[in-house]
Amino acid sequence: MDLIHPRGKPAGVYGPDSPVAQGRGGLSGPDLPTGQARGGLGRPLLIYGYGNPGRQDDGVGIVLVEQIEAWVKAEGMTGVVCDANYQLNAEDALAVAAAAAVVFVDATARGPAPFTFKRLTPQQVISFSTHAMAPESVLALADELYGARPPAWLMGIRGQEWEPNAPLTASAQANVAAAGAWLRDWMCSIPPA
Amino acid sequence: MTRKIIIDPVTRVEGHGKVTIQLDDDGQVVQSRLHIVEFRGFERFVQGRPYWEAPVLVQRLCGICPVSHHLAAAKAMDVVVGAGTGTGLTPTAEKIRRLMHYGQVFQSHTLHFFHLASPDLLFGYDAPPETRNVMGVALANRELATQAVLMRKYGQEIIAATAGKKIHGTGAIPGGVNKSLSREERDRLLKGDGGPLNADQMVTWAQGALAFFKDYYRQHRDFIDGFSRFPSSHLSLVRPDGALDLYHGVLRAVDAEGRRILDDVDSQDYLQHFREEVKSWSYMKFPYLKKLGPENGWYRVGPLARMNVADFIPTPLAQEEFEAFRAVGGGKPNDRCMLTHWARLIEVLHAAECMRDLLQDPDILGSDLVVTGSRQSEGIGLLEAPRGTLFHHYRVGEDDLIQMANLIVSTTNNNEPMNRAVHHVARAMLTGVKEITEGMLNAVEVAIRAYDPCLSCATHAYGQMPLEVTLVDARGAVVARRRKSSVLAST
Repeated sequence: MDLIHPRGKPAGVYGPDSPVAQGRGGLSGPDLPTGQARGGLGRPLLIYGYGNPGRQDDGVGIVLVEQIEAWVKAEGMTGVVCDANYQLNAEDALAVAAAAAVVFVDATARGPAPFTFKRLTPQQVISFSTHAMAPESVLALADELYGARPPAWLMGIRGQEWEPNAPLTASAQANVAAAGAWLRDWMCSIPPA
Repeated sequence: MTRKIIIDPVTRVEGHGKVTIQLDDDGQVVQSRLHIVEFRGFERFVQGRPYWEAPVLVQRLCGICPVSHHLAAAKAMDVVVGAGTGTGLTPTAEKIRRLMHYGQVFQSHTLHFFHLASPDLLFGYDAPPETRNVMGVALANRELATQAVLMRKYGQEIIAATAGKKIHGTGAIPGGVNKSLSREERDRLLKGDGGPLNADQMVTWAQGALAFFKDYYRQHRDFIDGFSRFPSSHLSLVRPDGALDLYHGVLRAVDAEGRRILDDVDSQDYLQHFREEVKSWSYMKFPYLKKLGPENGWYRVGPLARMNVADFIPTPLAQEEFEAFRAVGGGKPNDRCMLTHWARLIEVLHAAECMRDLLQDPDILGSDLVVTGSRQSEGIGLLEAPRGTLFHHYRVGEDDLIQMANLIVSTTNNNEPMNRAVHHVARAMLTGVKEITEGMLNAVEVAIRAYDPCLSCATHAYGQMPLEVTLVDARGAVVARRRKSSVLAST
């Protein structure tokens, strides 16, 4: 399945203060080998948000993925699968293994606003009795069990408050807007097959 | 000189446990405490919200076991809308809720056994942390790891089909459910789409997991029987005829000899029988049976307790396993902490059998979803969550707003047993030591882990559950500290 945006790449939306524009946010482009994400493999790009939307800014990943999913549908874009859950776990290795590329979207309590975007490599993340898995561990499990090693990134959107409330704080909403604009640009910049 | 040991976490999520172990001048362990260092007052948050929002709101408590809170709150609100105290729903509503619950238990127990327990069993608790995790399992036993992934996936699909969606499900509502299964959903979950995600396969794999554990037990009987073993009372809901029932029942407790100390009381009367003690050093309360007092009235909940309290299991394959399990206890409640893993796997099999039965029941396709009756001002909903008995209690005003909420979560019910488990291991492994080895630290973890605690729930924090251990001397000085942070390790 190809990732095709019918209108081509939209204009950039970043000002000079953007951490992405300044290189603090990670990649400035898709950094994908041609054809890999959309592929010749016939596999989709997976956008996976996680967090608890009932915990204020912990839900930024869910909110962004919902927005991206609506945008993909409205734009008639194909080759994109959106998914979300409270946290990552072992079964997500199945979805990762079925994808040509993966973007995880999570909240972060530290780091620059509005967001960071970094390449991930499969690795174990060791922690005590956790009931969730880190994205690096999900990638490692997909690699080990299914021999799949899709390129993957983590978009970390900066949050401020984590109380059992909704909706997002104003600053988190602004960060989601910036992250969404950048991610849409990024998705559109993936070259066609 | 007295010394103290602490275990502590560092992640972006605040909820965590801290273990402090104090040694006297002779190096003897004199005190061990599992501290909970996060509190967010969730009960106050739901005050002032409309009662019908509760089953969705309470899922904010925890992203780990939201289905348990969803169903317990819905059961409490059933009482509020006059739909009875557990048996008044339509057959379709009760069976859809049960299916959701068994899906939750199935995927939760699977996660615990394969991710958290099996690495300890496969590699030993003194193995390096780089191997004692799910990746280590995948490397050592690919078949086991692959099955675990698919079992988790199946449980999640059951939940999504019955709750409506994966996040903040809305399936259970006061007085019933808002959807049943379509024929297509039923067929897919029962038979799979030509792949392994079908009800029969889940039963088979659950039996395989049990065989794996029993084989391990035969080979490591001394370790399993001796590790963190101490007598206690046990509490669980049971069906009125004594059967294991994870969704609804009466409250029963037995003491270490198997004598009933709480005799099948109605869950609506829980306040007459339970109290919670507050201790200055922990935000997590210490529940106990009122008539026995805090010193003697504490109890265990969860899979081990349920196997000790129930008279039988009403599904045939799990019943066979139950009989083998009970035989090990020699007629008394089983007090071997590590056999909680066996009990947990029996419940995985029971849940798989129940899911298979329910998926073949035409009632789950029905359209009679909700009942209502005479509006009540108070509702109590209890459930056997994966980690143990879960209490939800609400009072609702005439304006339909929640005035009071009281939650006793499973991990809180296990507070005293977890503290005792830590103390037992600390005495066995840390007495007279001069430094904390990784193996010692891991042993403390393993003892706590058997209870599968969700400190996120217990403290009403959110997300994950890291740990810190500190060793302190007689004068209060920290001698050693080890933290369990989330760290990357090469595969």
